[in-house]
Amino acid sequence: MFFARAVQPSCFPAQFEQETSEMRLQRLASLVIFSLVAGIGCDNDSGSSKSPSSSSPSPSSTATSPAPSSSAPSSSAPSSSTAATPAPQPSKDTVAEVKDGWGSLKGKFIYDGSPPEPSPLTITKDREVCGKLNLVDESIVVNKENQGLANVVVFLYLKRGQDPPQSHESYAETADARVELDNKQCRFEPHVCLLRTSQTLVIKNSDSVGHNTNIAAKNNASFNQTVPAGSELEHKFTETERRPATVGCNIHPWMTGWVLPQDTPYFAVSGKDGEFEIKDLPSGTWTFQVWHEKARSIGNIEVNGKAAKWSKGRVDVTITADAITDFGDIKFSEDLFQ
Amino acid sequence: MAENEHDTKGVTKGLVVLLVLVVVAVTAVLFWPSGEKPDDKKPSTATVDELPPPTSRDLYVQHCAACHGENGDGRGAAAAYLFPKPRDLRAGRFRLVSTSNNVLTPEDLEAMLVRGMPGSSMPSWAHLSEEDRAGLAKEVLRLRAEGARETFVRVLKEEDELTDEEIAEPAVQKEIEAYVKRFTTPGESSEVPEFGEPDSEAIARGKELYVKQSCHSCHGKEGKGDGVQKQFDAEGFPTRPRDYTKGIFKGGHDPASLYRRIAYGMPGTPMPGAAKATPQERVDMVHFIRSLSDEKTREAAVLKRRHLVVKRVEKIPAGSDGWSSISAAGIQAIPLWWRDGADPDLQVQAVHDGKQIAIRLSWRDGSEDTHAARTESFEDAVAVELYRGDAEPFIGMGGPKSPVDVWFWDADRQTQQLVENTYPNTVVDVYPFSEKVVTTASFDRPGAKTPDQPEVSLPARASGNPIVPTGAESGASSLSVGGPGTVTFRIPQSQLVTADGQYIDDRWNVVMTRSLSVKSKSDGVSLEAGTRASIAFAIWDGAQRDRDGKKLVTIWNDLELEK
Repeated sequence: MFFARAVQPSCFPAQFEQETSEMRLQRLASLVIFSLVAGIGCDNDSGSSKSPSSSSPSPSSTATSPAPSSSAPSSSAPSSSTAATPAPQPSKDTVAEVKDGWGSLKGKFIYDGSPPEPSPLTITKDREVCGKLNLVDESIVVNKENQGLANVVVFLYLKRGQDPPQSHESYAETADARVELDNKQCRFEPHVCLLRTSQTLVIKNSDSVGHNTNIAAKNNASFNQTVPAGSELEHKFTETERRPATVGCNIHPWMTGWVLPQDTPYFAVSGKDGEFEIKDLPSGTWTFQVWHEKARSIGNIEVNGKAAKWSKGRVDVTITADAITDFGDIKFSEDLFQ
Repeated sequence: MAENEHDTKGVTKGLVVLLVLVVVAVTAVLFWPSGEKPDDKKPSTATVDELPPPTSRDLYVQHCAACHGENGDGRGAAAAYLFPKPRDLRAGRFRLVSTSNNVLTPEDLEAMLVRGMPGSSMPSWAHLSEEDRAGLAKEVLRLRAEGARETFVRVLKEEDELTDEEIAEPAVQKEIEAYVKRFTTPGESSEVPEFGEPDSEAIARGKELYVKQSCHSCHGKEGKGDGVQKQFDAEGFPTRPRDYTKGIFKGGHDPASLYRRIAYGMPGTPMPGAAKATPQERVDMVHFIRSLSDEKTREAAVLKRRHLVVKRVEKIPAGSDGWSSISAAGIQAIPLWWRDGADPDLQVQAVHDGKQIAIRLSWRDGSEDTHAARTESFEDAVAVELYRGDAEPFIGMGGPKSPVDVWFWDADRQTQQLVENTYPNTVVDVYPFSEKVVTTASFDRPGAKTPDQPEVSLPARASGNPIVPTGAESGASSLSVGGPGTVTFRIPQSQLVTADGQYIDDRWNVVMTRSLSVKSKSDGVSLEAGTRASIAFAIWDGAQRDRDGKKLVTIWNDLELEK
């Protein structure tokens, strides 16, 4: 478990603390008691906490920044396990008072190793249009200048039954915005499309050939519609997804994209330099889900030069009010993409 | 720790069981009137009519489980023989939907059960009562709900790493309920407009839209399904765009059904919906697609129950002559492992003279395959499935409680293609200490067993394997079957069917004959003049490597024996 230290914008690099021995003991104890209560063997100690936000100590004690302390995690998660959970539960009414303020999270994903040369795609259909575009596989996009890894998605992970946090007012304006997913030059633009469930997905076809857009969502009804050349259609997701859903075109089977509808506005995808930023998060400790289409289970990684272990790509970060919490450089070794 | 606990549980359980047994035994001794054992009670007088009607679950197990699996996961015992694969009813990727969220309505299911799914091995269930079909639809939707819950709980456990205790919490349970409800509550269903008669203008407009909506990308410019090379469905099985000129439509060929396929697509397949097309545009596309086939072709793809009259005659025709005056019923046979153009044009005639019944089966087969000895060879064959009773059992050879009588004819047996003729010496085991010493090299012997060799040197024949030809048969076998995988050859005394097969002009003509009535149930189904029975057929085409469950089948038909 990691806690990002809050720093002032463009200040010191953040430091990530290894789990303290005390915390580890605490967690171990809770697991043991848990297994006793549940009457099961303890076979899953992959480093994930069953209830990250509830067992997190208050971040203010470790925060070095001058930012105002955020005294309580703003999670409204109900007690998720048993009496063995050590930390006191925040009461429901702390949800409304995010008085501690808002902070941002940023970071940079780095591909550690020699990135694979993007392999050319086999164009099997509409060659006269799509065959001249030198289309390549976009599953791993690395900036050769700085090893920045694009298309890594970071989004707020909410436990089951946990209500999403209040959104900052800066998001209100775009709450019902139209988010475009274009079928452009026989590929999806953007490759990874993120949107809120309150927003409308506009599926466009800028090409001169017809496409269909097939979204294999898990929580939403399946979606597969034709998008004639030059047309567009709108779609609204009713439910949040826990993972980006694949987007495909059955006419042009090489076309792959991803779409992630979320109940919260707290998500970002890394750009061409591997950098991402999520603005105006409520302060407190939150779990973030990190996802990349080829690194399905992000476990052993490196953060600012130190080895770290995440479980299922999840990491706890404490957001400090009125500051940018810098995740730092997150290095994914090439083994992760095998 | 867990193991110990388990042991303790086991012991406790054992003690409880023991205690219950003791209590029951003591009670029995105390309260049974002396001299009366429970067996002495009057036999139950309940008849079939008085038994409680089968529940929808019973019906499902009886008719659907063989292919779709008892729990609906699409992995029934017969699933391996079927293509397209039986739907995983739990996963809910139902293709033939009529709602905006792709959730099936009971009406969608009931309509499909009447029609079956042309182009697949899913037959029509029109022979069941409306009530039974509604029950089946209910059970399928129940399995789907169960599957949705299972899927979600698996995600909770695997992805969210929740324990059973955490899953049991109200907030999580609420989320599960919401998920199940979302995936089992049908969404909006848009009105299907009235279809006028197709005119050339509508068809021309439809043709234009067919290209505009990219239908041609997969279904081909001429609608022959040749637009793409390879496609897969959501389950990972190969799938193909429909060839519209063949007139086979899984979800029905009527305009309204085709309209829904265009509007909603077919979830789980590459087929998208055309949400942006206007109702009028969809109507035009339907007119165009229907213009690529004619009604007769389309109807031919829909399985229909036929009425076969067994004509009373003075004398059963001897051999192949004398059948021309007997009317024939054309019965559709479909391949369980689908191949287009497999229709064998099965024509069935039947006569009886009060004592004997003869059924003549005539079907098209491009090659005479009479040889099954080699591993790479497969033979032509045909089977008649008979059942007498009100509620017809599962079409796939009945079930444990309702066995069917099967008359089987195969070309190999009729032509006596002994294995040893194909592979000289291979089947004859040599028993050096009980046989006369063979002086010449073994290859000098004729292939078949020599008189010097005991019967035991042909182990299969010696052990009475009914598949082994014995030299004096007609090619007919009588079998008893109680569901897929239970084919049993009757004992020799009960082999009462004879058959004669002739291959003439690319057609097999097989006449099967048996006495109308049989002495006992172990001889098969007794038939009687003036009554009815249910009859179905199966055909194997050796050239297509058909064998066992890889075959063509029909649905149940009526067999009416004239007085």
